[in-house]
Amino acid sequence: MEEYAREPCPYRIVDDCGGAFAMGCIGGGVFQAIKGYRNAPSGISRRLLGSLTAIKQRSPIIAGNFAVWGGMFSTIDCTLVHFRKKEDPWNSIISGAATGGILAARNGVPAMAGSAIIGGVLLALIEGVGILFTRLSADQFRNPSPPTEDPQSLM
Amino acid sequence: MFLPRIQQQIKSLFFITRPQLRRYAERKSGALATAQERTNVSTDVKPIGERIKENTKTGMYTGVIILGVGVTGALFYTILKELWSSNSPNNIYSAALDRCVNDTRIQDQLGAPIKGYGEESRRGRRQRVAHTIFERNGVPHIQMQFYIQGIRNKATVHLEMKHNSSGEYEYRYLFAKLDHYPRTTIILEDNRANDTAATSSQNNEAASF
Repeated sequence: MEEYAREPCPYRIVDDCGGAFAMGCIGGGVFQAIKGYRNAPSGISRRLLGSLTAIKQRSPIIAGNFAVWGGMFSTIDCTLVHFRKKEDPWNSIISGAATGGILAARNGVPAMAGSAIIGGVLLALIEGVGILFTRLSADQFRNPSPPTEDPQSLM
Repeated sequence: MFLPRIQQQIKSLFFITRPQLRRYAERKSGALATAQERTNVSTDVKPIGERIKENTKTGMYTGVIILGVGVTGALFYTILKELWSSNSPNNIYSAALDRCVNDTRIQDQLGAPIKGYGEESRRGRRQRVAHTIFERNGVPHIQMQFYIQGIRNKATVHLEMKHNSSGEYEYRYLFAKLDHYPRTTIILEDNRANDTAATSSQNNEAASF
């Protein structure tokens, strides 16, 4: 029962930041490996060396960008949870849009608006995927017969 | 009389006059027409295998595009329905949470700033609210459970709603049960008397037949 008692919120920011860093590291590593392999001069050893160089140069940068996104997202999410006193999909969507906007702040207002819309729509899609998956899994594990008993505490 | 002629000549050097232009255009369109006829002829002679290949390719690309649009549309439909339909689990949860937060008995027991959340996922999100949708006697019902927490105590809220005659959900019951010491049950709504009357009358009819 103790892990239920702990509030996820402030600690979740560190979690999300690290998770995003790992994701960017792995994903960016795979992407850059392929890109470096293709761009290197011919010869298998040169190509492998090229992909290794590309991974070393670029994937930490991608991972860092991911980590900044994740950390900012989670921070705003927790702030919203604190002030709205409610956890629902709106938190994710709003914080996705806000993160997109804030991280594009140095590129001017139109770029901010564009990134904010992209961030919001992306997070809405992710939420949609989550809802669809829970619905599908709920359908799979559904009780064949409806609950006939009402809760004991109401009797 | 000398000057105007010179002017005319200069003009004709630099500008194409109107009749000239028309002639030019006619010649050009004629050439274009013949060229088009030729291309029409030449596109027809392609080996049948290549044409099948091309059509298959086009069909496959179209299929991929349609699939992508379909999946995106389904996702958008799901999320928009979840966020704006008043019968969606998310909005039922919002409405029930509002009622609980504004209930003075619950405020007394839990301590004033009350927040609500659903089941916790592995990643520390608590936005999913546990619910099941089912049919009882052919009427759609929804059962839901979520948590509220004040500064002193926590409670679990249980609710069940059923479709009324106009297809909107209305409460069958809604109550909060404290998680810690007094473990009181605070009943906000209990309309089960209505449906037991209905079912018992049904039972009576069934018995009389």
